[in-house]
Amino acid sequence: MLEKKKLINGNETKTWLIAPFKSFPPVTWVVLAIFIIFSVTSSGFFTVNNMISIVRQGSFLWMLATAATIVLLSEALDLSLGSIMTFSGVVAALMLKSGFSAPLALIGGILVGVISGTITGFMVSKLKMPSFIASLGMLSVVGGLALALAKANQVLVTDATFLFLGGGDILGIPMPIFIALAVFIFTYFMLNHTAFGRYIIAIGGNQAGARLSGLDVEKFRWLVFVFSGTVAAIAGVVLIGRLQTADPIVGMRWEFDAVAASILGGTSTKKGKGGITGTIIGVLLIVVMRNGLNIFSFPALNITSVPAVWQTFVVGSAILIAIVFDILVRNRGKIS
Amino acid sequence: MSDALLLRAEGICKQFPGVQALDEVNFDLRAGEVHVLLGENGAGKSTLMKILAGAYQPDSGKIFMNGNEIAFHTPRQAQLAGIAIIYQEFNLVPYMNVAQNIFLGRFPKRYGLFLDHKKMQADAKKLLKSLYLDLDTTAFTFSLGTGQQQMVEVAKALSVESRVLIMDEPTASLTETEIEHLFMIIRELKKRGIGVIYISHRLQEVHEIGDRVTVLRDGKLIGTKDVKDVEIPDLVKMMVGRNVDKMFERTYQPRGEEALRVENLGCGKKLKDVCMTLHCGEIVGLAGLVGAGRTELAHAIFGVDPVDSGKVFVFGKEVYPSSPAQMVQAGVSLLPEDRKNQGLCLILPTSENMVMASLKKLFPKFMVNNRKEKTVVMDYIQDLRIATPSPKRIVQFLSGGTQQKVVLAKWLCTEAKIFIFDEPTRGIDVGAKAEIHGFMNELVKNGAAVLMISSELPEVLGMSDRIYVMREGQIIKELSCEEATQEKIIGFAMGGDSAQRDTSPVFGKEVTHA
Repeated sequence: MLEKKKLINGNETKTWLIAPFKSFPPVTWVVLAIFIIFSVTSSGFFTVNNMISIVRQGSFLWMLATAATIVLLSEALDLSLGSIMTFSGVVAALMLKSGFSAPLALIGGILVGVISGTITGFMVSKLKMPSFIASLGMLSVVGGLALALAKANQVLVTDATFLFLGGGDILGIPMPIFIALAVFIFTYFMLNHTAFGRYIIAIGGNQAGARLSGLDVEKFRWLVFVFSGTVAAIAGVVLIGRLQTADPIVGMRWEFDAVAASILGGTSTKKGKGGITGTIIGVLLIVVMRNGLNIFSFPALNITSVPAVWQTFVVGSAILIAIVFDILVRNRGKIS
Repeated sequence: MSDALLLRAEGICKQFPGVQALDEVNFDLRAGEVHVLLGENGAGKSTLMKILAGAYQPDSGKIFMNGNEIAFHTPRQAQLAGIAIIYQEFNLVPYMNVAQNIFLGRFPKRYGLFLDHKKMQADAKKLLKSLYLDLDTTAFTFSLGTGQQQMVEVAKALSVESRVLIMDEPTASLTETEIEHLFMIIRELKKRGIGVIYISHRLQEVHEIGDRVTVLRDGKLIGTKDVKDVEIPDLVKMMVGRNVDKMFERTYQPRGEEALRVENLGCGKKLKDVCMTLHCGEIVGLAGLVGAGRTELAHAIFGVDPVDSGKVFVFGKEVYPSSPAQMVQAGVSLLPEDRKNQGLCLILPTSENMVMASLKKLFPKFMVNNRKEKTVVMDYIQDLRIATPSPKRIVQFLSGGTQQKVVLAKWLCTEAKIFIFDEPTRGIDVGAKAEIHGFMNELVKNGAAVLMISSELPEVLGMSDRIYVMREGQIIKELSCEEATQEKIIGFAMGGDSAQRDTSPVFGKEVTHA
């Protein structure tokens, strides 16, 4: 609870990033409401252990959503993030299995993400393909490659380094949270304090104008995808340590969650509006819902849990409703 | 028949923010005549036309059709009343065939549900035949040439029982034979008693096709004449007849080294064999009508659009303009006409817009140092007297003149030496205008070179050391500031009889300087 308060305040004081909205995204209230509902209805929800578990689950989506936000800010879309995450994990796991050392497997896993992002970026910036199509194609190609390399089986991960990165903790705080936080801080710094960050926003806000200002628009649009691929790969190699196995379909639907979290967090698909701080709210919404549904019970209506097969449907609908709510609030008074 | 008034507009006024687009304009149209509407860029022709077609509502004034007062609130109402308009930009759906385009929105139907393709094709054929047009009604419109597309537009306009046809520069992109064909159709329409309002920039067409001619200038009606009573020089005089006010302060200095030389630049149909030079310490004006290729030339030099042929030299060194990034590096800058969409990133603060082009220069290590950025930005805010409450102010909320100063500051940060201003003072209030002119003067005084595209003749005459006049993608004439007059420029720009085309190569001709 405390952490969320801080985030909200952080949003309010972060001036230019989300200046067009002047405040935190409207769905913050939805997150709070869901939080309270789950706290009241499910006794196991508002506990220290469950809170840590929420944040740990959320850290992977947080990384992907941060990458998705950067791409959205440049007025493009990356739908291949989930697949790249899967692919990197599978490659790292297979490398470990065939005797490579942990550092090499880490580097190898991340490198395939860099390469995937480079290919998507090439198609988008040099071949002028719509990013939606290019990344959707990469979703199939990379996802398919992961499935083929793993022979559709899960690959066990037993390496101590990987298990520590994914499942270990320091002072009770899980490692994935530190890694996600590091990704966030790096991205935040890149976005706000480097020329590259300025260029991303400028290109997203006005691509023609950025070109006429002498920016190498092609190069920076390309780099954006390299960046997002890299971040997805980092999430991938950490995830296999957390799950202790590389599952070749683990990333399915994550691309939607990542983009949804960005949009819910106030990043617009047009004009480079938004920022990665708001994305945290979007990530929380999705993660809290997934977690809450697992342990949801409502004795008054004789509901003890939401059946697992219905969870995807419920979460998907809820995200969509939240986006509709969000857009209605934002467009208040704009629709004639 | 020919004296019956079809359409009459009385005392039409229309104001846009900052400009009186139309001021007490009267206009009428008889059945079976071609009424030519003339005027410089921004004289109010398009506004008047759009009011007649229902796209704009006048602030005051009355419109009568066949003697009855009418008021259109939507283009559709005007269409139903029998007023059709053909815009310069065609409104055809490329992947629909000719017949479908003609009847778009009014498809004949069977049982009120299914499209009656047979009837549509038959109707379209009948309509085209009545106009002596030979077009395949099943062809997709994207496969047609410009001239044929124009014919489809005419057919579309006449497929609803129109009495009035408004044409905005219909011949702008047609070839000679296509123009002949169009005129033939217009004559046929006249026979049917249809009144045609014809907007053109080609003066010689006035006598070819027109019956009467009306000249507008700065939103005011200058006069309506029978075509047989006027000569082209009279029309030119009516169009310009303005005094150059003395608001332009220029200090002249001897011109320095050559900053920019363009040789035989060609770019498709837009630019043909353009040669020009620009020296340090001078302002060169680029005059011409909208669509004459001035912005295209600026874009070609700045590397925005790839060129087909020709060479560009910057300070004596040949540069192939492949991208704006490269030209910026060479010291060239462009202040675009559409500064909101092309010059600025509206959602970003003033400061970030100002340093956007020079981040690499200011911060070679890629880290943005906020304190250094602020110092640079504050310097320019003071030097250029940029009226912003804070450097963090979002550019969107600044006035037009202030925005232009931000664009200028952006290029000053890059230490550019060559400045291309495209319509530097369009949409800017008088005070800021004078300031912008002052900065241009300051720039050349400090040894920079300025190329200025402007549609405002007084600005061109008042600011330039030399003037190039462009028409149809070519530089038609070079004038020194002493010999240039509004009449001469308009003459060359419109290609009227008063100005013989200067066929000698313009390039290399030295114009001595005061």
